[in-house]
Amino acid sequence: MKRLHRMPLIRRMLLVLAIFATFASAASAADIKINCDIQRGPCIQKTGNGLTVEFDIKPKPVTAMSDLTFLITFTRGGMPFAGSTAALDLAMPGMFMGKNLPILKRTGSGRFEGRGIIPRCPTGKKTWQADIIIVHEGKTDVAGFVFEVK
Amino acid sequence: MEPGYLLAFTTGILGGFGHCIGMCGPLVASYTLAVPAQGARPVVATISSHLLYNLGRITTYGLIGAVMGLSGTFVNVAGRLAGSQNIVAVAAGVMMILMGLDIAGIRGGTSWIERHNSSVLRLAQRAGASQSWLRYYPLGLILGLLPCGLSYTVFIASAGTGGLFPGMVTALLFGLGTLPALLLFGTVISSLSASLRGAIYRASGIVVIFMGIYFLFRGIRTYAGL
Repeated sequence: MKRLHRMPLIRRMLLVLAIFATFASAASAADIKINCDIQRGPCIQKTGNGLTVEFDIKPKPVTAMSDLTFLITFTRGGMPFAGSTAALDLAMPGMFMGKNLPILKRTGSGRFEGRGIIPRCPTGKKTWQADIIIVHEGKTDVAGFVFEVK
Repeated sequence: MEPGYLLAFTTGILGGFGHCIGMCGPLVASYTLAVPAQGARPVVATISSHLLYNLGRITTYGLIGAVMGLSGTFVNVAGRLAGSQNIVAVAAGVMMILMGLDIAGIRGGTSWIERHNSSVLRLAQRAGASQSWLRYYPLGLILGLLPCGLSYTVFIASAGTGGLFPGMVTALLFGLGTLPALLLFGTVISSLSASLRGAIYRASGIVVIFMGIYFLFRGIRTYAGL
């Protein structure tokens, strides 16, 4: 401890910064709950603005480091909802993995499809979050699906 | 500037502090701590060694990005690279354990390993013990191959560019973005390690050994696809 006190102030500040950065990067994702069993089939969520969002990934099993197709469908009151634009943002909870934004193409009324890849994390973490951002009638909705890949 | 290039660079900046220090910091700490056993070095030499290590790492990223861009496919190239990446991950773990043994002053441990293991391990041990600061560039070149989820995301973007040059530039800009964080981290560890002596310094060797075991485990697990 005496040795630490003898260190110049700038060194001590840099040391604290390095320790903080190390622990911040290893932030726990324990509070993130899996809400989508993507391996079994599509997942469904309702947004605050009354839209139903269905999200699926093919082929099954959904594995990291393979070509995947992301399928998104919007409905309202059981009918396809056409008046919207959509974006997909893939992220790993608690670990910054860069921006992974597969480009979505409209394939029908309220239906979107995109191709992409989910990278493998060498730490062994397999939990991913797909945020679907929907813009419709001047409003923005976000549906977040948390799932595990193999 | 192309939006994709800007995104790659900012991914590097954010990922450097939010990802790389946590994931690759132990590796940087191990090769940094292994040096001051011979005494403190001038600041220029310290920064030069970290700069060379990072330039080696960024060169590897650029080459992988170029191949990804040229082929236009991430999955196929990543599949071909996987074998060598897993070897590098395991070798990095072994190197950290050997450096940790040296730092902790457990000389007998390294000589036993040298007697009973392959030339690859002896090479790793010699690389760690070498005095030349130029060794950091090839070290960075090799360790740039370490499996990393963040760099995979950037290589996916490189493959998406569909060209050798844009693929390479995307990966290079990402690597340059990670430079400030790892350079700062390495310099801080160098500064700290120069002031550590005796039991505290040997204890840091034990920490490096455990970090090496963790890296080794990570490499084997990635190889096994667990």
